[in-house]
Amino acid sequence: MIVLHPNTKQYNALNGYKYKSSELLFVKDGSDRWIVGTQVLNDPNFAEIHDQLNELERIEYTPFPPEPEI
Amino acid sequence: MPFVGIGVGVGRQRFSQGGGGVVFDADYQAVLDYATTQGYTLPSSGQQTLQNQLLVDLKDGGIWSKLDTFAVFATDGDSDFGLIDWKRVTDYTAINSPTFTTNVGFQGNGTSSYIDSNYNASTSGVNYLTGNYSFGWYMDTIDASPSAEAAFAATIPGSNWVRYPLKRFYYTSGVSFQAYSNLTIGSNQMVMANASATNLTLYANGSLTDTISIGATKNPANANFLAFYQNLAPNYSDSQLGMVYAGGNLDSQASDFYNAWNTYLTSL
Repeated sequence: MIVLHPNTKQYNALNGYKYKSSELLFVKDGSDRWIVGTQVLNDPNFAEIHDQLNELERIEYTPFPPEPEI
Repeated sequence: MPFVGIGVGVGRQRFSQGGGGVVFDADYQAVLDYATTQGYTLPSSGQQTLQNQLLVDLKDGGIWSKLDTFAVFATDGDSDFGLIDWKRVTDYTAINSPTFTTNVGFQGNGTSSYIDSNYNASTSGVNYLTGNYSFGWYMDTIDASPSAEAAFAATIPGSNWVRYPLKRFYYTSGVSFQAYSNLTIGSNQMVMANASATNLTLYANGSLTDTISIGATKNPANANFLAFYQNLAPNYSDSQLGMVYAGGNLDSQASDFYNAWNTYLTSL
């Protein structure tokens, strides 16, 4: 699965952006990299930062290892 | 064209049509007024009537007064309208763009998106008390992954959470207490978890399905409620929810709650 990965400058510029009921907060994937799903590119509440989001690096998402059942 | 209402309650009346237009229950009208102020797109006129009736039914069933937070994601208003907390008349926050589908609700993406209710029981709780609480959701579509993660989880970073790994309801309080239920979580299902002093009772579509002994002190009293997210990896779910709530114990109202919700849902 392809996700968006910011560099430090992009992270600082975009993380915490809010509009109406929407907020952008990068999260860590299983490789400890900051990522966000590509759905943000289609969110009308993020239209103002769409161009910046579109510049983020596309990377393959690393899932977390499944948790063993207790 | 939106209905015009006035700020008065109408008790058990669905709504009244007089010369001045339609009058909704004051609490539903407050939701519409808030949405209008925020610039959100309101539901269709027909759905406004259905939503008003849902709220009235919850009041008639003694449910509304026990809720602390309640959001109806399944709407033909816009996604911002779907994120309004009807009880507190404020917004949930859509983090990283969970997908909104008209009349169905929000869906996580399994990697990064979730919904923050902005409801923390320790700071926002009115009816939600240790040993006397309820929370739940309506799930349209369950997580596709084999280890299905949280739908609407009570999370405390690094410590407590309530979720449903492997499609079963799971309760833990720190690392010292954990319990699985026999309730199988599935699609098209309204799940309610009600805590009393010592037990957690679980309902599927209004029917009692399981009881877990949790002890008197094992409650997520200061939990923050997040949809599609839990604080233990794998964190994110791609399930799809139509409604979420939390509040005081609703053991006595489980059937009425489900019936009110189902009446609304099947009318969409």
